[in-house]
Amino acid sequence: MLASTISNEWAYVGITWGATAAVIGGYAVMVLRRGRRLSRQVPEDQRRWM
Amino acid sequence: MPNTPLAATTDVAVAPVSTSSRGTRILGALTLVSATVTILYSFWFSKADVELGNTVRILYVHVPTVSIAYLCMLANAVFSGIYLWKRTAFSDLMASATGEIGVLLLGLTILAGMMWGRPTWGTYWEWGDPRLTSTLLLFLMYLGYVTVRNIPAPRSARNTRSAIIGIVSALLIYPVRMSTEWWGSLHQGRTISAPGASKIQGAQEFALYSGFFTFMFLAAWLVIHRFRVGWLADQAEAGQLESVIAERRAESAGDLGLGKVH
Repeated sequence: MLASTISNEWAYVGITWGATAAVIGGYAVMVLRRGRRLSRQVPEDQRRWM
Repeated sequence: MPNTPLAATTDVAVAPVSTSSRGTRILGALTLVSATVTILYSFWFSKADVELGNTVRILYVHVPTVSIAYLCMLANAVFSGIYLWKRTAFSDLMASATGEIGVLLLGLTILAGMMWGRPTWGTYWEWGDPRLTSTLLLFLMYLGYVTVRNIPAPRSARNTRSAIIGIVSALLIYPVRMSTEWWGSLHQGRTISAPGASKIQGAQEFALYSGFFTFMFLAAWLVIHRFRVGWLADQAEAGQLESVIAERRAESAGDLGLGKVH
């Protein structure tokens, strides 16, 4: 009973941390890729970041 | 020694073919270090809570994400207000970036809350609960903000509409924050900013604060990249428009015979 409760808790913990990492990681990759693609379309003098 | 073209060009800094810069790389490294510390404290140093058991580890994500989501949404309202006042591209793009990151973090907050609610309250969701329902409403309003930004429309109209939605949506943040005290809720009250002593301490408190720093660095890193993507998208669109106008002018000149040399 106790073992079942503990493993059940860890499943929710795992889903939370896993989903957070996956969503943020996926979003970051999407933004970085879009940035690379758009950078090729814009003249060099308009993408000099500080 | 002859001055070769190669030697002449080595002093010129080349603009990166990406949204990265030295600043974002430092911020990215800081985020990774902070995330490592948070993970170590959340899973290794922080033990299971006496009352909450291992589900306390969900709170190390849930509480920081909602706090940083609120910060992003407040920043969105400030930049939206500046946009309506000054009409600058900078304020519009900053509002767009902070709004998008804010809704992303609030979505993760809701998910973490549901994962915490099931083993603790015995349910993923309770529609009658003011905190849960108002948070969902806030999430939907910012989802509307992001949707309006992606609907094709003249840029000025799109920016104005989204700025108004951003400001109106931010008005809901305070009632959501105070809902547990005003209306009573299944959701617990404030944990670390409540009057009196903090309810958590030791490694648990450190894990929570470390989570705040991690998500703050992460949000800043994402906002900078997202701002630059928005800037590049606007520049690319303007460039395409200019080339289309130039093509049309050339075609018109050709039709009139202006381009021919006699």
